Amino acid sequence: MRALVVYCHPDPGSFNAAVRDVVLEKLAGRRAEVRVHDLYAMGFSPVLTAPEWSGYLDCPGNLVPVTGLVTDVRWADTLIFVYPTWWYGLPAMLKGWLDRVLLPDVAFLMPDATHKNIRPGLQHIKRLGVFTTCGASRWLTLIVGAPGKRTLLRGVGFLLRPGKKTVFAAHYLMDSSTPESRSRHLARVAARMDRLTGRPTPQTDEVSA
Amino acid sequence: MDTLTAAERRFYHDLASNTAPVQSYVDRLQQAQALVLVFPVWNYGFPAILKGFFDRVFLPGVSFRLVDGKVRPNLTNIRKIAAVTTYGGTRLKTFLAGDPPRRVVSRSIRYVCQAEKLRYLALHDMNRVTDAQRAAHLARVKAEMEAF
Repeated sequence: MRALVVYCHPDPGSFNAAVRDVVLEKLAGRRAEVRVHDLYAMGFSPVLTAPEWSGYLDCPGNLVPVTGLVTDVRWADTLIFVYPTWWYGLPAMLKGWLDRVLLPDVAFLMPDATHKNIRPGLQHIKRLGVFTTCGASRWLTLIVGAPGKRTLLRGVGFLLRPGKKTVFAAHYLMDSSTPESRSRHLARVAARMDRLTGRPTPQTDEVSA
Repeated sequence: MDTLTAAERRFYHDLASNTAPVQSYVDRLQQAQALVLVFPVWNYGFPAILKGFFDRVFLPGVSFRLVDGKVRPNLTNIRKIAAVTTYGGTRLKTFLAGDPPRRVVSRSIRYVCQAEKLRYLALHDMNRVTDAQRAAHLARVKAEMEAF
């Protein structure tokens, strides 16, 4: 397994860092090869610039500003996002990773003479994990329609291998979270990671034993 | 800076100081009677630079207040909202993806303003759209904005 973990939080002491660590531990337990894009720590610039926009469709010149990051996306068979939900969506930093790295000829192939439609370009990725925290309640997030979750599970999900494995977990009402709710959530993340990476959970082992 | 920084995150809920890094944007927003957003949709979301505007400027005490842990509208000076946008995806594909940017504008942004009027003017399938369709969209935007 080759996992690319895209991690986005400005504060190294954030609960999201603990979620990321559970994800990394689980990957290590599976002896997965892992690469991490820690966007704030890297000083990633999220803004697609005017020159990048003018050259957006010029493949492969469009990859030049983000070559290393694109290499990691092409290398991965597993893609995992860990981030806080702000304004029901991805932090600008993470949205900029989608804007600048998921380029034509990387993430999708533009229509051409023989193909009328945009075609998915990330069919080598067969596992998608999305782990987030929300200030809002589950109920309010549902009413707004969970835009961030949709951007990743559907918008990015469309580009990946059909039949891919997908897992999602969110801790809602972060501002009134307790040590218990947070540790429950970390256990949930661990269980989702087991499902994503194909390891049966210990409970399943006990039942089958 | 285009993103919420570590320091901004730390003082996000400190109403006395949280607006300082973006004061001029906050002042302008609080004086506005209407909010007009013009943007392309990329990857079923706002461009990062616009998302960063919401992350950094729509702060507690600016766009919303927390009352007993619940979000309450605080930008009620804004009575009208217009979003004028373009999508690479078709209307169907956008619908299947759940149209995240439309939801944010028509639900969360509209909620904090309690706006009476919302116009969401979108042109889809930008990679294949014809000159005639683009012209028709511009005419529609012109008419809608005159009425706005």
